[in-house]
Amino acid sequence: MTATPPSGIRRFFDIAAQMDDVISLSVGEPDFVTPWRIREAGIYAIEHGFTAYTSNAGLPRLIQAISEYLYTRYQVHYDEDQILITVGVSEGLDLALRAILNTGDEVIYAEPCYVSYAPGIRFAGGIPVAVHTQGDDGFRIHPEDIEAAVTPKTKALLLCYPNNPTGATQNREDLQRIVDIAVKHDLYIISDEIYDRLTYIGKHTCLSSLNGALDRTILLNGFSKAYAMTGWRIAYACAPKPIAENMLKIHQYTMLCAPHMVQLAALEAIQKAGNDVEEMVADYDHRRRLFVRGLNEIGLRCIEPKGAFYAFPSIRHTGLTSEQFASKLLMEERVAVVPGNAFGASGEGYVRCCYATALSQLEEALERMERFMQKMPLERKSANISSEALKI
Amino acid sequence: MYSSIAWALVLRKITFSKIHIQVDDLLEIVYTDTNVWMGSQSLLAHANEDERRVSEGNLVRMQDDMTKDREILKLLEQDSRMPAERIAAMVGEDVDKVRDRIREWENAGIIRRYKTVIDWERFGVERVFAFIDVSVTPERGAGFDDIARRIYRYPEVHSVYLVSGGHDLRVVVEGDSMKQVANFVAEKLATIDRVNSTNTHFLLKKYKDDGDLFVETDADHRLMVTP
Repeated sequence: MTATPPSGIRRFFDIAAQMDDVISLSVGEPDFVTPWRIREAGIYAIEHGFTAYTSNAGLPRLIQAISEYLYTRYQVHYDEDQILITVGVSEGLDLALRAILNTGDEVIYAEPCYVSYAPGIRFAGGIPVAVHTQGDDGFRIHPEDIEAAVTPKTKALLLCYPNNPTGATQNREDLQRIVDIAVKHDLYIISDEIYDRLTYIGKHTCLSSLNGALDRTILLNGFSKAYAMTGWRIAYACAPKPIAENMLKIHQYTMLCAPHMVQLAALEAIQKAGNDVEEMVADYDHRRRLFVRGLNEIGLRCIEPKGAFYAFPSIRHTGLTSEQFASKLLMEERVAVVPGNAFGASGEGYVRCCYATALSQLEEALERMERFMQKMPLERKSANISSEALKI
Repeated sequence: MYSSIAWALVLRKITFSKIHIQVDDLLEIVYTDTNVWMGSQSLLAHANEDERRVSEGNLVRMQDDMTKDREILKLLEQDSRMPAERIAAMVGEDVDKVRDRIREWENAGIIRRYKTVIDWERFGVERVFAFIDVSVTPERGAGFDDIARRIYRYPEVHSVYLVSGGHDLRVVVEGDSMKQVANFVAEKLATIDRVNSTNTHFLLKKYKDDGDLFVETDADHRLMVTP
């Protein structure tokens, strides 16, 4: 346990939290408050006394609604006993890893990635094996890189698309090839699809919908990002029956169940808040285009993020490390971004900027960052921005 | 495309605030586009494979343009002073094209005018509003239009709607004092021929008007940094 360092983002937060007039692009959550209809459903549930435990797996009504939702949206069929309501995708991921891993099993995951993947794998007794993705080709994960990392001890692949922190998505063909590799080597796939609804270009592919995927995939999704419900801590996991049973066993002894009133709010969300989601997504998309174009114009080369709400520009040409860049930017211009190395070694040379913040703040942040970049004695020529990257 | 019609029909019910868009005109455009679209669908059925591919590309482009147009209008509806450069960046369009489109909409009467939402109470000016339900006897040949015209021509009248339900017209009247509004109703509205009755409701507090909140909104409770 002591070998696992605390989250790098937290350390950074302590510095930023004590300063005034900071524009924070370092949050990992929507800037919308949960839509009122969902909040109201939560209040109604509390008022009417829905305050007791639910069954371990969760409210049957909610589970059924999720099953219908996944079928309607992605034509993926999960029986109700394959679905488990969890306290955030974080819990779902922990359950999935603990349910499938034996000590010493390897899990291959793509970096840069969400901060909890490697620690989560270690906590479950596994060995994290990172496959690095590169900004130059849009942080695409190459199926052959995954196959090269497979050893006899490999147990599972862990994927997250759309991706935090890069905003990258993955095309259907590549995902199918990854599934084929999993079939060939008999591996599980844990697919974290928490950002699925925040896909701006093309259509999201639900991993479970691919040929051969359903009986080896643990699908993790939740309400935090799509419905702006981060603080409610509510999500779900769908898995092949034997895995789902084991996950449920761990869940019932460690968590018992997700909060009753929160599950009722989630039910309202999945059944009624589709329009709210679409409005929020359209709004993110506007800010995404504006912000990414702005970054490229001031010399912070950034591939087009097709999903989530992050831009992940390269800062290599400044000659600074990600941490140096982030702390210098914070000290000199009061803009907080997250150093890319917080998301794994392959995030070095990048910073994560969240554009889920007010338009006026984004524009002010771009102005400050431009001033910052102009002061910097950098080899600007090396920041040759390809026309491809600018085509937003 | 059908959803755009539904969308336009829904919009027709809504009164616009900051930027006034003539929805009937927009509706016509949607209809026209639909006709073009449906017409081209039947043409496509007879086209050879190459032609079809090209035409399908055009259709997709037309639909994209329609979506972009709607996005631009919605952005302007939220903030009529939003610079064309910013709009262009946000919808991924060429800035000159955005300027052209806006000019076209202004000329076509789709964009009616640009105005500002002011909280007069906060500024310190007391204004009195009343909602008046008016029952009328419609005129043969002219329906409700003639009587509505007689009402909306008064500058004191803020809005006039023909509504379903127990009354016919819902009129919003604006004045400096309750007495002034009451006098207007008694002397001008109620005395119009074919007005049978009026029922006046004075506005006591404005919480939300045309989509704008007139009370303080909640602060951002997010932490500075989260994973």
